[in-house]
Amino acid sequence: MPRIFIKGIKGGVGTTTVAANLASMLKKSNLDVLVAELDCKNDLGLHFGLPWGENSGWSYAKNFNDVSECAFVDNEGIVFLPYGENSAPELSVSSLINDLSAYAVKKKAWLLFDCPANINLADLPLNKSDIILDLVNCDAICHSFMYKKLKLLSQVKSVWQHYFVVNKYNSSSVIEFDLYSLWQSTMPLITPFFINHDEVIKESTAYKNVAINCAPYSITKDDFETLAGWLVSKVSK
Amino acid sequence: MQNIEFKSIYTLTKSDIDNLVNRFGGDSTQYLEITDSYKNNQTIKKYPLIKEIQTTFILKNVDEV
Repeated sequence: MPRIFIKGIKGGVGTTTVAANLASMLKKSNLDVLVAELDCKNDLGLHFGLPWGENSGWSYAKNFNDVSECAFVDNEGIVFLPYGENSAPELSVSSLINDLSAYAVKKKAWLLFDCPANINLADLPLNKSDIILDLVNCDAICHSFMYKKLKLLSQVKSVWQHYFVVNKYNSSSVIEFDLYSLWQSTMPLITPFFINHDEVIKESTAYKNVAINCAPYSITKDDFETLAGWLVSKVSK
Repeated sequence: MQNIEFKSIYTLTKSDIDNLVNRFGGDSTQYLEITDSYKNNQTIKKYPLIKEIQTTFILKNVDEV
C-alpha cells in the first residue's frame, strides 16, 4: 500500500496542484486513490469540484469515525479528505496518517498526502517504503533550499525515499535551462524528468478541475503520466 | 553589527552523497550520463548565489569551480 507525501521545498511551488493531478492520473490507471490534505490552506477540494463555501474537513474530527465522515468522493471515484478550517485540530497528523494507512491497506488504495512546505518529516511515522516528493521550481532560491535539505537529510535517523521533482519548468528561460542542466548532473535525489509550466494548470483550477481532465492532450497530461508511471515502478520494486 | 565572515560549514563528500542516494533514493539503476561540465561551471560562475552555495557547500571529489 504505497504512501506518497507531496510537499514543496518552499510555499507556492504547486504542491496541491501536483497532488490533485497525480491522484487523478493514478485513478485513470485503475488504481484506487485516497488523497488527504495536511495543509491548513484547505484548497485541495477546489481541484475536485468541491463547493468553495464547503469548510468541513478532518481538522474538526475527534477520532477516525469523524474523519471518515469528512471525506468526499469526486466524479472519478477519487476519495479526498480536506483539511477543513479549524486552526486547532484535536487529531494529530501522525495519528491521522496511521489511521488512514490502516484504512488504505484494507481498500488496497494508494495514499497521497498534500503536505505543507514547513512540515517536519522527522515527526511523521515514515518508513523506508514511503516516498517524499519534494517539489522545487527551477530558481536560485530553491537551489539554496535543496542544498540545505541535503544537509538535513544527512543528519536524520529515519529513512524514507526522498526525491526532488522540478515543477513549473519553463524551458525557454535561460536560467531555468542552465539550472536544470546543473541539477541533472550534480544534484543527488532529483528525478530524471520535470513537470512543465503550462497555462492549462491555471485554467483547470479556475474550472475547479485537474489539468488532465480539462486538457487530456496537453504536455501536462504527459508529464503526470510520466510521474505516475515512475512512481508505480518505484513502488513495485 | 557583525562582520560577515565567510565560513565553510557544509561539506559533503562523495561518500556522503552515495549514502544519501542509498538511504533516500531507493533502488537506483546505474546509467551512463553525459554532462557538460564546462557549461555547468559557467552557470555556477555566472550567478553569485549559485557560486556562493557551491563554494560554501563543498563537494569533495567532484569537479569544483
